[in-house]
Amino acid sequence: MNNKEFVAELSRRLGYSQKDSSALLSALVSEVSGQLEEDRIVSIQDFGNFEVRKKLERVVISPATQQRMLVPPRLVVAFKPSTQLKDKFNVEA
Amino acid sequence: MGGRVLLQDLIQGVAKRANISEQEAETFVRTVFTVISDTLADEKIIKIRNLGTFKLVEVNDRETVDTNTGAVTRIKGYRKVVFTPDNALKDLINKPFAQFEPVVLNEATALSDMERGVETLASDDEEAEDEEPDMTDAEGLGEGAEADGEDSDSVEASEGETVIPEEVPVADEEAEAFQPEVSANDPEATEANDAAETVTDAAAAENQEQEADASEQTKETGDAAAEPVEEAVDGEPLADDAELYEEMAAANIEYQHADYQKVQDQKVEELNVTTQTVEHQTIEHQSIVHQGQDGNQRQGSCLRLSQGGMIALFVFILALMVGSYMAGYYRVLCPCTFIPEADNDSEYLQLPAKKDSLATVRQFKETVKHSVADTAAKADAGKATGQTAAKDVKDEKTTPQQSEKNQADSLKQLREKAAQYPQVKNGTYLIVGVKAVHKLKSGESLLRLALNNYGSKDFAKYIIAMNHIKNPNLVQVGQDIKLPELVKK
Repeated sequence: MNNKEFVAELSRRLGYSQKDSSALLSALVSEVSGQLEEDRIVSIQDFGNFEVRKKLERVVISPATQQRMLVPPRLVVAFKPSTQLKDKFNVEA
Repeated sequence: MGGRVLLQDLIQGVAKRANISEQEAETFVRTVFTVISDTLADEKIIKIRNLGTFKLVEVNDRETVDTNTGAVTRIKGYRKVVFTPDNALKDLINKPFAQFEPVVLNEATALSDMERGVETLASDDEEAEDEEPDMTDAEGLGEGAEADGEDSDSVEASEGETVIPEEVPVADEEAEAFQPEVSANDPEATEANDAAETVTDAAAAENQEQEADASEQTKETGDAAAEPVEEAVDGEPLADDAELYEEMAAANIEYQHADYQKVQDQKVEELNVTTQTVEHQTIEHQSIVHQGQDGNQRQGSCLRLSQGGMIALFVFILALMVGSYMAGYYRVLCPCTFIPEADNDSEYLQLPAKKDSLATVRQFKETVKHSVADTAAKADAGKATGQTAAKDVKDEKTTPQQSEKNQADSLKQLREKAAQYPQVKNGTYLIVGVKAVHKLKSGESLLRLALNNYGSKDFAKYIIAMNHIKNPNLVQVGQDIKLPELVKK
């Protein structure tokens, strides 16, 4: 399901226009990313946690050229699904 | 960490941003997440713009062998939710480190810091080993037990659980950086596990092997640490390793025709790398601080060194500049090469004059010596000789007075003499006689003669006048040139 279909589904469920729900969704997304940017853990009950993790710099060797490269550290977003969410997919399985 | 943001805070934020009531915002936000989870259940994938993609990934059954008992246990397959952040979100979050780029290391680069990190890693692995049984227990009891572990905030359990699945894409990305073809197939590789039987594609197999190679090589960086990890992986699979083992099992089916053992080895190595990188993470959190400091110190010392070098270089250049400047002055001031105005010849006759005075001084000394010798010889004569010595001294005293008179006399004489010789108009010197006669040799010129005999080329005009030379540029070899005796007017 892509973004468009998702917005359509949202507006169907909530009874909003597609435009409204699209605007609301982008507000939510920017809220979440804004919180993450400030290094906070965004935890949504029954869904999971979003958090920022730091990947440290490391040395890798290119298999093609045998060059050693120092890969710089970076920050990545990690999502950890809640147990409820996990169970939801695994109960029937 | 900046703390924890709960759903309620999120709802308030959205309400503020979108100018809607909190109630509306709450229903909206809740709906969003229920829709996401519902859609995941139905379609297994959902993309949200600017946030990322949620995917439901099926993990196949797999078998594990307990290293202690050798018992084979079968872990049931399950589904897991994987989130891949959107590029926009990735960039936004990575903004603080955005300026960094991968650097090619030289062969000579010392990795002492890295090695230190690896050493600590080894000890951490042992710790991890101790804690792993708890996790396998949790796994054995099922997902519910695992949930308990999480709720009680067992840090290790939760850490390991989430980190590892994410490390897998990281390892993939590594390969991506160097082998774009491989990376393109990475998602396929995971999907291949979903439908293991259907995928017998040789290309996919190759890709996985290459991937394994890539991770194998990364493993080399922390080889020492890898071995204890290997043990840990073999015997006590982490909760998430179970997933990877599922992959492995799937891979094994695929490789029935291929080199079974080889692939398994590679897979194990891959696992090692993933677990190792996980451990790395925790250590790196600690080590980054002192690594950073070390880096700063090294940079500082480099700076200091280069500063010293720069100062030395600067001083050297300055000295060179001053030297060259002074050399220029010295050249200008040097009496040998200074070419004076014709009227200022006076300085140059001082050269011979000085020589003369030196000679007279020497003569004086000799006479004094003689007199001393005389006095020694006439020591017997007693007072008489003393008187003569006194007379000598008196004589010496009188000589300056006499010489003054002589000079006045000689001036008159000189003028008379000068009348006999041809003179140079407006010259500062008078020609009063012939000092010497010089026979011209080949390669000589009047200018050079003047330079050699009088110290300056400007005296050539006196030589020309003295010898009545009409064309000074044309003189014959063997010609006798009279060198004039000059006196200042």
